[in-house]
Amino acid sequence: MSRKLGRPGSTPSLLDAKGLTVCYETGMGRVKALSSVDLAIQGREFLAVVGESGCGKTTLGLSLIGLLPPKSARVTGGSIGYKGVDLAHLSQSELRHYRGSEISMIFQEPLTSLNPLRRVGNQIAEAIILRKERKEGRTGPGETGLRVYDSRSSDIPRLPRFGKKLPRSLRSEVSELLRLVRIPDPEQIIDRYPFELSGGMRQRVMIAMALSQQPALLIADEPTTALDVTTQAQVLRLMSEIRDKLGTTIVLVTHDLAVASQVADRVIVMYAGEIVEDASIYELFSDPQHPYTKGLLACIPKGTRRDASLVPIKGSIPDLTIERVGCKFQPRCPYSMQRCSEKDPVLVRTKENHEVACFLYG
Amino acid sequence: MRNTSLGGFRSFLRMLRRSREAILGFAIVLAYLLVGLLVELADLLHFHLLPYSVTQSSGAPLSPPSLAHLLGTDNLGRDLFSRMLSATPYDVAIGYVVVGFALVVGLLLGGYAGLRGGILDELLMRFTDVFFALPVLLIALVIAAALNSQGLTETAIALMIVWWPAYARLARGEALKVAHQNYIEAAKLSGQGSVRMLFRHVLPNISGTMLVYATLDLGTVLLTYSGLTFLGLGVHPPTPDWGAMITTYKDYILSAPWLAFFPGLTISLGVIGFSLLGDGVKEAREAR
Amino acid sequence: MNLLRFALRRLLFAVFVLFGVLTITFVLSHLLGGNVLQAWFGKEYVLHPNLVALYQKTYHLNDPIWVQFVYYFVGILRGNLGFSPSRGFEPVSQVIEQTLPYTLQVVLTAFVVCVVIGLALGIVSARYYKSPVDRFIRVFYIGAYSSPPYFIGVVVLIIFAYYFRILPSGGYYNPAIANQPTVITGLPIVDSLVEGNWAYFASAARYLILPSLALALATFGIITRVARSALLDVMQMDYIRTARAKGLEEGKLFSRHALPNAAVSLITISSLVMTFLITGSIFVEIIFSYPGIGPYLQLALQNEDYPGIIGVTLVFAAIIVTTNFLADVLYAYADPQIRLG
Repeated sequence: MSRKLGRPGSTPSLLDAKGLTVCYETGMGRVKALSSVDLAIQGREFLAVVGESGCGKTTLGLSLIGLLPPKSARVTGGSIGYKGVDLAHLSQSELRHYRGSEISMIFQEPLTSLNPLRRVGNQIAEAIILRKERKEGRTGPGETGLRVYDSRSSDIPRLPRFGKKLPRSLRSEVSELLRLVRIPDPEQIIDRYPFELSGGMRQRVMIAMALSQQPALLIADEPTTALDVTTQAQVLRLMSEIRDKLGTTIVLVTHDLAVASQVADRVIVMYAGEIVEDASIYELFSDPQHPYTKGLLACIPKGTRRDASLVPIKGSIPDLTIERVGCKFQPRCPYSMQRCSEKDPVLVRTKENHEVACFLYG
Repeated sequence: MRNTSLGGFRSFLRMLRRSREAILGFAIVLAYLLVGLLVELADLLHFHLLPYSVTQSSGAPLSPPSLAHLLGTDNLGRDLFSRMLSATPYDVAIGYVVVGFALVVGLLLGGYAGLRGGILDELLMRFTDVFFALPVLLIALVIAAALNSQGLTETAIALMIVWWPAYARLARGEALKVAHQNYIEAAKLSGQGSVRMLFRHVLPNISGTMLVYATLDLGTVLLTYSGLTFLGLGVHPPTPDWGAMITTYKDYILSAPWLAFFPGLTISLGVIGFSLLGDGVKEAREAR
Repeated sequence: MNLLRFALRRLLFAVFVLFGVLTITFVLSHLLGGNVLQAWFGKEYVLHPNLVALYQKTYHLNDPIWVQFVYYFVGILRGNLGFSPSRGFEPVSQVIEQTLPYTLQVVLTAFVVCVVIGLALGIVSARYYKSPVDRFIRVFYIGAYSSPPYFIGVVVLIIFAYYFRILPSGGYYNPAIANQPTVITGLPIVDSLVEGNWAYFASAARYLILPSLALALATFGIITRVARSALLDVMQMDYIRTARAKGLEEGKLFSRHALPNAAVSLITISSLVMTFLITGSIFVEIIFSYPGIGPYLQLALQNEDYPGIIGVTLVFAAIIVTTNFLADVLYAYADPQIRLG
């Protein structure tokens, strides 16, 4: 129940999540990982989703692409509107058609996210072949399952067997992609195995793989957390370029506000499964409104001056197995009022490009 | 850091009780133990426990299971049930004896080698390598054959010789993990003797894993031993033994299949019991 | 190339193990009365003194022990495994030559069946994790590998030969309806195929089914257990998630990413499987009166025929060490980190 962010008369959003609620069944009870989240993502946006561990940001990312662990997590409410379809209520096989081609995702650990037994080029080629198959209509949404047994199109090459290197027909495309992500000497890298590459290279490979099907939306879940600072900066810069050059919408999930500040246009701050603040990057850093956001900014170490102390936020994140009434941040909030323990605040627009969910603002 | 405190043990038992398989396994193992003990006691006290004689004919030969003879009679008219009961003490005991020996020797040798390292460790590894490359059965065969007579004791000895290397390797591995902990280094620096360290620090910590392995292993000994008796080692007729019985009765399968079936079933059940118990123990430990 | 170096190292190791086994058997042969002739001819040999002297000269039996060992070693390499008293002093190597093909037939057939059943059940078990199907399969394979191979043989015999009477209970072919094939590959059943001797092939196949089946049933449990846990582990891996994020369908995901990575763990146990199969074959052959090495070993044991016992052990050891070596090399080839790193 919020008003949409964005200038009046702007283009309709690329993806529109309304009231999205996701629950996990854990050994200790049912956890509401996302509570009625409303989020509209525009095309060509670079959106950062920021918050502590357990705030639901990863769950949000996984729900958008439909990769929630099926045995434990379920979308219990709301919808995800994308190009006229509600992704939240599609079956896995229907969702499959969107994955990779429309919405793509890269993950935190590039080493374990790549198949150790296949060459890096092959794995990228696999994605390219999937794209070609989709274009041909061999595996499209709305297929009734009729297999068309015509002879295999000779345009679509086959993925080589194990250990074998890619045929020339695919190599140029893969090389192009690798060049796009600024990997030096792509011809060599195509034939390498994941363990032979450095962390930064692997993450670029992941990005290349994610882009190979030309998705409209790329979700990146903590892509730089496992990398050293220099490489981190390179990868972030790369992602920015991709948004600029290809027009891909990027959703960057991270716990690190500093990372977000380097590349994002717009930041969403999440806490305990809810969005508490949604603002443009400039707005967020110049005028943080939610007490939690203020606390987060204060946490960033400010330098090496002797009297610069670290200011943590008091308390700890709430136990999400227990349903509480009222604002979830209230126990830790230095500004809490009587209202805060009675009702849960919703997102309210305070300025242009700035929404916050806090009773301090209405 | 001892993980064998009394409280820990009790919660461990509780975990064990939760698994249905572990209970079943325990029940089977217990049943076999009790029967074995009873039969042996009865024998020692000359108490008439078995329904019929083990060596003398007591009914028509090759008769199928009936009320009079629960599992039928064999080719010489001997009651199968009695024969199987009387074999229980040996078949059950052999597992415990062999594993017990292997456990002790393995713990001592492997634990010490893992703790000390160096040449002793290398030697142990090379020596056990040869044992590992070959199936236990074969080596036991050769050794049992080599020891001049082929009675029960010799077979048991052969098994014991063949069994300990696995335990030594396992103990060494576990000891290595423990040996690199800081308190061991500290103890070494303070001049504690290796033997003392072995008993005080290493052994209590690796015993847990070793015991789990040993429990699982009891079944394997039974399997191997009955394999040896099947081939003719160990016991000589007319002494009954489950594995040996199958060899004798295999010629009668087409006329009296129950003769070969029941001894085999008993062996299988015994091994299953040990497996279930062992698996249950392993899971209970991991759940902690 | 790293693979070559690795293979050489494993080869060296294999040779080392075989050497160790040879030493043990040599030591044992000498322990048996301290007389090598006893080891060759059995405990109670009766030879003409001239013959004894001849042997002593030819085989350097009066030389110091390390010389004897060398000649022993060379002798083995030449194929001299002694003479078997339980078979009328026939050379052990000859007996083994006659019986090994049949053992290989059983073992190889059982291997194929075992892998097929084991993998299939492992995959089904992993796919339907914790469902009744999974539980049932678990009960089935635990029961199977807990049972001694000869018991499974007995059960199989009872079912098919006693109850249903559709398969024979012993022997290896029916001489009344077929002739033995000429020796080409060494495996009679394969030779008959090559020759076109269909009568023998059909008959021999009929007799081969039960022993192989029994052996396979006794062994498949290992494969199922490992396949199941390997598959379950692999499906939790991050790269599976990546493949899904690409939009890859489940079937291709399974065959391209899950199975191969799980298969690597399977290679590791294939040598264990071979070991089980070889020791199991002994029992199964005895139960089904199949003329492999098994019955000969039993005969040798019962007659204290040391040459026979040791000869068989050596042959088995050689086979097992070779399979272990091949499995190691195959594993190294499959894992690119070893192959290239």
